[in-house]
Amino acid sequence: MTTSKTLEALEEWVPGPVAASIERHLTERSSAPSDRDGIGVVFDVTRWCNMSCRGCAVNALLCQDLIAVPDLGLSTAEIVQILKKLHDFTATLGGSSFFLNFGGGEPFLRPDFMEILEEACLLFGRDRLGVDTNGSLLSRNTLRRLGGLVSYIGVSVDGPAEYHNWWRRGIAMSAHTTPYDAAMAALEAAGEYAETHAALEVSTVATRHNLELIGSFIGDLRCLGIQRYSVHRPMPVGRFAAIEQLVPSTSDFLVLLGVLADASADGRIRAHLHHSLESVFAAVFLGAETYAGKVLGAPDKRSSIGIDPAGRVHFDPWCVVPPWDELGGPSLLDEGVTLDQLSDEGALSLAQDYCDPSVRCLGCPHDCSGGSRIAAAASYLNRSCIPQQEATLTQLLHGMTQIDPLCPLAHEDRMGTKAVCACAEGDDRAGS
Amino acid sequence: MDACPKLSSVSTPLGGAGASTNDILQVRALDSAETLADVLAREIAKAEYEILTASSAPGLPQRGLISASLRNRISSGVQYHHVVELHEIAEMGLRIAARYTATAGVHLGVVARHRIRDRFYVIDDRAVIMFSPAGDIQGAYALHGQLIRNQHIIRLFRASFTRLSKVAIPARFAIRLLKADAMQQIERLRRDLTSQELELALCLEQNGLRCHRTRERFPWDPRATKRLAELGLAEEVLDEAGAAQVVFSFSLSEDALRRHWELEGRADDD
Repeated sequence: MTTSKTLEALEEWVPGPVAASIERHLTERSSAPSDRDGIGVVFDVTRWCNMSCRGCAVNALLCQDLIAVPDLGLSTAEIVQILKKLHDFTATLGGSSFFLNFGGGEPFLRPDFMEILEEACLLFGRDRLGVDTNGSLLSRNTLRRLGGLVSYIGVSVDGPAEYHNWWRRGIAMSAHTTPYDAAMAALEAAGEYAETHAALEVSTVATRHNLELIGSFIGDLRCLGIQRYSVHRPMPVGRFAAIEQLVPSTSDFLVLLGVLADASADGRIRAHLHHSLESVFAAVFLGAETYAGKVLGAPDKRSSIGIDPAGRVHFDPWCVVPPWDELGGPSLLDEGVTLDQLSDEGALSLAQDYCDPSVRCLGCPHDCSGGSRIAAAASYLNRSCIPQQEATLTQLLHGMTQIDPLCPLAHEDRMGTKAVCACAEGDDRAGS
Repeated sequence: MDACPKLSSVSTPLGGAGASTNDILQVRALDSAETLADVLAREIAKAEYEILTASSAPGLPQRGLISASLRNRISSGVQYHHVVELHEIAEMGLRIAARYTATAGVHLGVVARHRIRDRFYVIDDRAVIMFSPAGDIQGAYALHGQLIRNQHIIRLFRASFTRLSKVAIPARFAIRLLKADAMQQIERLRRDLTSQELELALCLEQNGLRCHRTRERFPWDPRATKRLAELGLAEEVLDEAGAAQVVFSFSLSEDALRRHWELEGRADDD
């Protein structure tokens, strides 16, 4: 593939200079070795959160009483038991890398969370650990210790103050502190601790309402010395399923990718878009190979399996809410259940199975990750007017063979002809 | 995707290092009715001990091949657990349904209409063949689907079948009640029926949709079917080809059948 062809294809979507930025960015991203290749695990250690985001994809429950979280769920000992099972599993992986990311809810609502991190660090080492947080509960003491325990600290901030506080439903941290103030104060304070600061990555969920704010927000992050920034695609599951209309379009994401590429140009901040989108764009526009079927859990090298707050294992971290949790496996706390066994049975490999080129995206013949199978299935349910809560097993599995709705090939091209392949027109292969 | 020359010129078709790496695909798309029927027949032919199904697979081509495969395996001792909705018994016809349930190794259960939300076969805990749903119409399915060998998913389908079979009423009990119901209806209206109408009513009750097939050469007088419909003895359904047909209209409701089962049947069954 030649650069001119890539640019020509991109220019159907974005203006020329933006196309050049995107091409440069995608080339770098698709050729750079990922620090997350191999097996990733997202472990949600609590259902509770001190915020109530409008589009929370894991349906976190609001808890404003920070002193007494109603029900912690798994005890410290149970979480450590699961960590040990994870550790046993990593021993079977040979040379494959492993990364464990803690999430929730808000993990720092757990009074024992630092203790959990210490246990995890002993088992896996700092370089294999990360945590996602809203940043509102990070005290100086926590920030001081955190960088020594994890190599990735994802702080979710969804844009400038007004938007962020609106998205978090304006829940105040205290009389004078908004969610935005709390998160930004933590980011600023983290600057005092080199290890913690270096591990920081700010992440934003893109919606139609904050797209245009992201450029200036990156400027704010630069002022704080933040070096890594990522934009997540909104996954229309959980609470987001009810506001799917806020999911930006393919075109929106390409324009945004241009913004991220430009922001990264001087090397002071590394910004990127969610891997499921970058991998599709790199495959479609660059001809990069982003299908890697032998990677467990997902084919595009940067996805993860999930463990929910009850210890149940899911092939995708977005599958912890109904109806997607129907596809999940048992709890790792159940007697005799091991990840090794779940892996043998295929409970961890559903993303891989449904990303096989013969199956995903209605058999689209391109050498692509297939994007997100969950987004594809959620979009199918929505198109078919099937409420997610009522979806059946066959509807979910059929949905997982559909096209990621943000794939450029699923849309009309800019020349007025259909870019949709014959097999992608509608979802019916043979009719009923 | 070649309809878009610019995109297809940069995107690489599969076949290189990134081509499918699954030596044995855990999930295979069955893109057409022919492929689905062919794979279904082959997988049934390989069954060694058990087939579970929540579908009669109407509308598939090669029905003869599928049925022959099934008969062959059942006669070899394979246990065939089949759950259908009540209206499917009427379409099957009571004589045929009774003969079917009398076959050793066949376990036919009946559930209420719309209770079967997914259509699938589980074969020996080794493979699932699922019919893809057809849009948002509950229980409707398309003539394409998936062959799934992923053990975890097979287990989910088995669990789904177990839930269904737990609420199913054994067909032999349902058939007995439907037979009594039909006889009562016919007896009540016997004096109003011509001999041809009576013959048609009995044929529909006994042979279901097959009644029409056996009568293709000597079709019923359309006035007879219209008259039976007016009397409430027949109702129109769509057959597997989507054509309107009539079947016997039983007055026994699904609720009434369940009540009878709770009162008498379950005790007998125990």
